[in-house]
Amino acid sequence: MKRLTPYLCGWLILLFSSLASADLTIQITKGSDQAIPIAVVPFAEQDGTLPEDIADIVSNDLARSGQFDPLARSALVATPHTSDQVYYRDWRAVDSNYVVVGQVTPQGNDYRIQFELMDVYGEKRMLGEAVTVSANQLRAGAHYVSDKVFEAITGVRGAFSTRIAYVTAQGAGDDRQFALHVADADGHNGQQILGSDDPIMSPAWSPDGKKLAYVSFESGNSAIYVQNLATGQRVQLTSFSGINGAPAWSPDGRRLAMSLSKDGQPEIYVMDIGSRGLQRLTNNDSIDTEPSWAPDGQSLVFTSDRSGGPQLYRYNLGSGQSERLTFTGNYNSRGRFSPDGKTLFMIHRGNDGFHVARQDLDTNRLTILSDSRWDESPSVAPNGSMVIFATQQGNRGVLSVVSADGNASYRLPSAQGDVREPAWSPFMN
Amino acid sequence: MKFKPYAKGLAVAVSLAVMAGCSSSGGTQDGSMNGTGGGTAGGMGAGGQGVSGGQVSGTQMGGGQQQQAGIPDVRTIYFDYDKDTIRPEFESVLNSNAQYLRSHPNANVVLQGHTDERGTREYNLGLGERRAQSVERFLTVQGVSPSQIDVVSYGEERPAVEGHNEQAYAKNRRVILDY
Amino acid sequence: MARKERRVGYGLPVVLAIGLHLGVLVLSLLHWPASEPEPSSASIVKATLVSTETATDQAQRAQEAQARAAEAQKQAEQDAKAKQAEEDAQAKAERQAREQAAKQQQAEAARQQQLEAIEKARQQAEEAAQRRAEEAEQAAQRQAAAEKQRKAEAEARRQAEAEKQRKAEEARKQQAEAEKQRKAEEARKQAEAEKQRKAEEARKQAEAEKQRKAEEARKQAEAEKQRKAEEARKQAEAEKKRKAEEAAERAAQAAKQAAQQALDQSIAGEEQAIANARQAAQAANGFKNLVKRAVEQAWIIPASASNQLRAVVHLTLLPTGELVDATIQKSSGDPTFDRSVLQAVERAAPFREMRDLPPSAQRQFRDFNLDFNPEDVR
Repeated sequence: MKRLTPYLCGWLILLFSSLASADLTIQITKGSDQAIPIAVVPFAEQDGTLPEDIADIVSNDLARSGQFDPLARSALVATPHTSDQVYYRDWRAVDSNYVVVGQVTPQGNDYRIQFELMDVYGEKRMLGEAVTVSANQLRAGAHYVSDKVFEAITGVRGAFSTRIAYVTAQGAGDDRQFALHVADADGHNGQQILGSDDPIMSPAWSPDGKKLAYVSFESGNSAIYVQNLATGQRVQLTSFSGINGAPAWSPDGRRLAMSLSKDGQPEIYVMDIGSRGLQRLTNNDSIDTEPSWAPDGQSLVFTSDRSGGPQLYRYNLGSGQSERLTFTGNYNSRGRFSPDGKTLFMIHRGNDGFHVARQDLDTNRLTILSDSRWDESPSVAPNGSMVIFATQQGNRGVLSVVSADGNASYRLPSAQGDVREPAWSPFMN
Repeated sequence: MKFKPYAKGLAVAVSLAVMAGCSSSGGTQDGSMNGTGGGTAGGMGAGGQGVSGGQVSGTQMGGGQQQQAGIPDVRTIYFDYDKDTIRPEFESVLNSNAQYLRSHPNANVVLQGHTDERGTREYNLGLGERRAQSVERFLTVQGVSPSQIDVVSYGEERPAVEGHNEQAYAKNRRVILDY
Repeated sequence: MARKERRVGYGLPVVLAIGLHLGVLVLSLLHWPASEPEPSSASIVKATLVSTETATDQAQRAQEAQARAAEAQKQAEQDAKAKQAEEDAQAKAERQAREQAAKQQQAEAARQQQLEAIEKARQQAEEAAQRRAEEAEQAAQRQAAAEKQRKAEAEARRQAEAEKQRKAEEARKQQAEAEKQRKAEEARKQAEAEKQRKAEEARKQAEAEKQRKAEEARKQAEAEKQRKAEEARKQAEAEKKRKAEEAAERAAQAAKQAAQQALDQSIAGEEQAIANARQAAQAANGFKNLVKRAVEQAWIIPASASNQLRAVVHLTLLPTGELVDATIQKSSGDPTFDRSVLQAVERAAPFREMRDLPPSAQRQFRDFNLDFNPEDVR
């Protein structure tokens, strides 16, 4: 034993010297690029006559957000419908972080949708809810499930129950027909709210989601209208000479910022909708247009080419001062704030075309989000996670959605001609 | 500390941006960005002159005015990318229109300003308007009364030619004198 | 008692050598061959005290002792080899083998020296015995001579007596001449008496001399014997001592060498231990990188995360690398972020490569922490 002691001591010294602190700590500073794997199991239904596939809608919603990677239906190892039918081992085997199960039961003319969300690796149920919808609101019910699942996992409110507005153009030349539509955020349930022989532009949702402001050339010149979606009734707010464009609702819904060139060149104005009183914000020889309010209502971002080319500026309503925000490249326009006011989305012209880009206002770092080249009209989802915009696919105008970090994108299905000028509604409740 | 990996890239990007910004002159955006505008402008000018009134016929269909004597045949002029300056080759077109308007003080003309599809729509409304205003200035300098002139901008909303190429773009950057 | 002293004399260098090496068993091994030569030395001792008759016995016994020692050596060697075979660590076995060989060599050397010493002592004893034998012979011869002398003297006495009687008878016959003869006889008698007295004296002296001489011779023989024995013993002892000292010296040198070897070996052993520890550290580092990569691949950083968020997870692993427990030790304050890091750990587990780690490295990873802090998110 005595002979062993020197060796033992030597080993122990070496051992303990390598354990400088009580416990070893390994630093993890990066993760993987992948989206969260999730299994959305087909919901149980009574007789297979349900007109909508709830799990399919939920899967697509989560996939479109760019943050989830739903398992293909063929890869589902089991088909539980309640949490006690879920064996976590099965879902670990297919490397799924979460499982969504549910069932739909008819209740008279309505349907009761029950759903549960399971954390596979934590081996616990995270969420369980039931919602009742009428028969023609099944898709809305599915979007509700998506919203809840999204929020439980990411901590961010889901935007799957929101809507979009957009403009279509069909035909060519003089026969061109223009139309303004609203639809679900996934492009379904489209509804035309205005048709015209003349161009329609710049739809803008009121903060309560009940009205749309837009620009129409039906009077022979651009003019701003506000239309009530439920009733279809509308009001022409402006008919100034020159440009009447780019309506933007204030967060309290009482004012509309706009671009008017009645005084010689486009300037930013704010109109009080109730009184139609106008307040002029900018006064110079350049084009000042495309205003958009900051979420706190204290400032507006707008496009101005006073520096020689279009750049984004912020107008502070309190001080009346404007400061330039963009310095990267020589074309930055159509700025839109994220809902937390920390990020600006815009169209940025790079070497190879016009892209949706993001600028973080604390670092002023510009990031290009889209790889398509003819991008226009970015509009931010009310939870800040996605941006919808118009782009070209071949010769057709299409709508595209990109996640706010640029990691995922998808094209909206569109059947009719050219689609452009999307606008994302606020939360609809 | 977190900037360090980006410092280099940011420095390069910012210096490139500054250089790019410096390379374009103030007030106008040359074709310096992609060189397409400047490179083909000369070619377009020649092509533009050859364009007949077929393009404006669509907008003036049904109007009997075009058959009245005097209304110039050529009522469309074209512009360079990001420019609203009247190209010399179109001055004669404008002169003849100016002459017509001067000699017909009751005639009114709507100057329609258009842009190609590139860029954002509302900003293009402004660009189109600038071009139309440019023509308006030319006409008023030629003695046309401002009351005869109206300016409307359609931005990129009414292209003459569809397409994502320079030829289409060149045909869409125009002002139409719509009587 | 003498045995023990002798044992220490042989074993001290061996013990010294052993004191530096592993193996109580080797020590015990050394005991066995060391104990073998004892009978030989004992028989030699006995031989010196006994007469010449046992000379051949001595030689026989010495040879037997030699043979036994050789056998014992072989046995010892075999046992040593058997012991080697039973050992676990090859290093120990090798070391022991080396040590044993060294020790055996030493023992053999010592034994050989012992044997040589024994031989020499035996030879000396033989010579001494021979000398003693010779002397004894001489003493015997002297005794025989003395006997002869005595006998001769006795004869002479008898003859003298016979003469006397004859002469007495002649005297009686010659009483006439008796007086003359008596005078002559008296004279002669006196002379004879003188002579007898002298003869007796001489005889006595001779006898005494003889006895004395015999005794002296005996004593001397004894003394010689003792002295020789002593000398032999002393010489043997001295030889032994010298040989033992030489052996001890050699053993000491060998021990020194062995100690040096042992030191080298222990250094090598320590270097081995250090190399082992370094290997263990390398294995631990490899496992650490494996864990880091696996967790990074499995970590889906929430879209809402900023690089300000930081969470520490404490893991407990089984030696098989399976995850027993993963808990948030330091929360980021954002439940979505916390959940994402726990999922990353659970997805990355189990870390089966844990089983291939040396136990010292494995110990590090039974309980350890992961510190999550994303670096390239905004």
